[in-house]
Amino acid sequence: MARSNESDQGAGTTRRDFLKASTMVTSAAVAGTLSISGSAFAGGNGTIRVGMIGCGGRCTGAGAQALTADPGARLVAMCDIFMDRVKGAKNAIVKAGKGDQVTVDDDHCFAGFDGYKHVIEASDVVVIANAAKFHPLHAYSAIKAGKHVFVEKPHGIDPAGLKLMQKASDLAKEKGLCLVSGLHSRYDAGYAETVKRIHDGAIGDIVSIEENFLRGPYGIIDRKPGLTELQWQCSTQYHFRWLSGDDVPQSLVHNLDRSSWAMGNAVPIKCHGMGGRSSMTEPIYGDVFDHHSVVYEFPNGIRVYAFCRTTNGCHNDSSSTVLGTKGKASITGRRIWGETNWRYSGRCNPYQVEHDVMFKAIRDGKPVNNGNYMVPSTMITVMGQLSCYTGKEVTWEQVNASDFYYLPKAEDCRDDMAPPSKLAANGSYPVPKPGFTKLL
Amino acid sequence: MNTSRKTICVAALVGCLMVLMAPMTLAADKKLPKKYTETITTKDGAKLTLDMVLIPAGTFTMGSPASEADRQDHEGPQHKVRLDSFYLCSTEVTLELFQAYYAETGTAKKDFIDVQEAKKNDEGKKKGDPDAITGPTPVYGDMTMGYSKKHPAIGLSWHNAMTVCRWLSKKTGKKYRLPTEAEWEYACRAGTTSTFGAAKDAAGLEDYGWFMDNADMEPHAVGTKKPNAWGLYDMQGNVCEWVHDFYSPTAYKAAAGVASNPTGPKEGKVYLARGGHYDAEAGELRCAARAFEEDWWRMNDPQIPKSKWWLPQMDFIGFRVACTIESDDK
Repeated sequence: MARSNESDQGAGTTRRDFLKASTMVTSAAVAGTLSISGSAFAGGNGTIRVGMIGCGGRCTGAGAQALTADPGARLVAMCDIFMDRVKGAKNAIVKAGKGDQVTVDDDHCFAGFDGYKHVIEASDVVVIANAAKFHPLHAYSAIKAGKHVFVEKPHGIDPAGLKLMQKASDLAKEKGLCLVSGLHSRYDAGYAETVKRIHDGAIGDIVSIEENFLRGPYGIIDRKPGLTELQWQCSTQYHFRWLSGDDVPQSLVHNLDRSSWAMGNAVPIKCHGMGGRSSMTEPIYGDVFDHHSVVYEFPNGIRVYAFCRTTNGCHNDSSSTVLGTKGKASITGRRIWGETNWRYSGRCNPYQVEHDVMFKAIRDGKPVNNGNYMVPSTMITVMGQLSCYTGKEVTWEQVNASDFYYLPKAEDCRDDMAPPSKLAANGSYPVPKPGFTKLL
Repeated sequence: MNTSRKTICVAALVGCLMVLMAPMTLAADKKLPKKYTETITTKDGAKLTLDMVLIPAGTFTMGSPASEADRQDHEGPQHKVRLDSFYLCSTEVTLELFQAYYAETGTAKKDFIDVQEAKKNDEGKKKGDPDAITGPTPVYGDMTMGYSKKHPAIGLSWHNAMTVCRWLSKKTGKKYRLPTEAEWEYACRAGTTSTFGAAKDAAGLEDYGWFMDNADMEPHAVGTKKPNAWGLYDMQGNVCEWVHDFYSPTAYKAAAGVASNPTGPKEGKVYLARGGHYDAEAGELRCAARAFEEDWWRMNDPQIPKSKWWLPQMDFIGFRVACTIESDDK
């Protein structure tokens, strides 16, 4: 881990470090097609209006990071399914010391499924971190309206959604707009240096990669009295697959993004997975699986073994371990064991770097577009998830040809609709049955 | 810092009371056992032990002289501190013990911690357990970070370390707590007055602690180097250890005359973590060196508000526990 005796309480040092790290990580990703919408802030230091789509802990963090990245940024609009979360997020950002940059009035706080439209309208940059089902629609809508986008992972939960995200990326390039991904590994200078060393042969040729994200369940949120079934499901979205896409996209997307990155952004030929619910079966845990394992076959016979679990009282592990012919690397540990042992000793806050890079790109008129990896890395997780649900082998070709989506479509969600997942007579939410469920 | 000011004040107050209530040690140390072993029975019936060492009452010089290499201003002026006797664990708290605590006290309830605490207390009262402890929210990732159960507990906030002490106190009926900064330095020096305590110089440190020159870039199982003169392992290096006190750069200037059982500034924003760590240079392992929570310790927590419990990926921050000697024992 990053350590030093020097104090970096002062913003100056920190920011300089971040910018240095930023340049290194993203120099390859910065493309320079300029257009009117994309270059509107080039060379200036005027106000950039920021809108938040989603007001949970992560979007609140991302909103504050956006404001930290650029002194000219102002938070002007916010939305969530729930108004109390909007108000809570606004207060938290003020409390975090960003009050001078918060100009959101009550007329620009929106609740419900359509709130995103108003936020996009009021903003120059939108920060999207809500239920992943909506990431493609919200990102595409923002880019279509000429707005820059930061969007959290995963970048969709089904093949149809990811096609729309790809369209968003293509359109962003055309319009000269930023599309920055919350796959933070790519913005972590320590991970980047580790991957660079793997590419430079520090562990020889890659033989296989082991990916683990084994941990306790996502936070449990009590069902407050007065919530409709739809509101309840939205309030605890990680536990419902129509909103979150379940844990392979949610958790293993970081791991599998690192795997793909280590292999030069390779994509798999096929995969087979298995998963189910072993312990977290009460209705409060919704309709997702609590354990998954997926084996991916990549070109050159390289296998990636990926595991995730969200269960209390079991072995925990969060790691990306690359095994090579001449050694091994832990990307998460930023370490290499080979002919020469090495560990990264710098310091980098990738969550801040993402925003520093994006706002610098906007100011410089040189848009950043992460579409080249954000869509494929998420698709790798979606094929794994679908393989776990169906029990079938899934090929890359097959998942890319599929138009499968979880009902209802993001654009069809209404505040008064009934949710697609319904409690069964046995008192729990039905889950897919591998061997019987057909999705592709 | 996520902890509200109110919480901090209450915590500080409780801390002060805890220390003030400790009776003066007269010539009573001789009657006290030099050490004892605390046995903790976990939820699963496993027995875990803590070796507690008697730290004798005494007076020492806290801080470093202006002539000391690598010294920083906040280590001065040197001043006399008088301390009552107390017990200190011979090792840093291990992941094994920390995981037992997590299994017993952890809550899956992510949001509204204060509400949950109040609720749990209510439920506790109904069940005749008014002091039920609400422990950490689920860790994002893996709290062991891949290290063994004999490695030190890592990546936890000061608040989390304090809650472990409350849990230990509840289980044992004794008063477990974090050592104050003065107690920590006194125990680290263990009667010596030199820069590096037990070690003659930076090179000699390799026998007593894990740091940049010998740790191979990672923390190690506790108690695998030589102990200092009072039988304490890893006071220098391996992981930084949270202590009770708030950090203030001017704390020592405020300590005029002989301070008696000082507990640090009454208010503050961040807490101290002493002793240096596996990736620190020798200078950070000096007995007088003072580290404290910096913004970047939370840089891998992308959320707002920041976690009250975890410092994700920070594998160089741990703690050890002290135990107050109660009058009946003397």
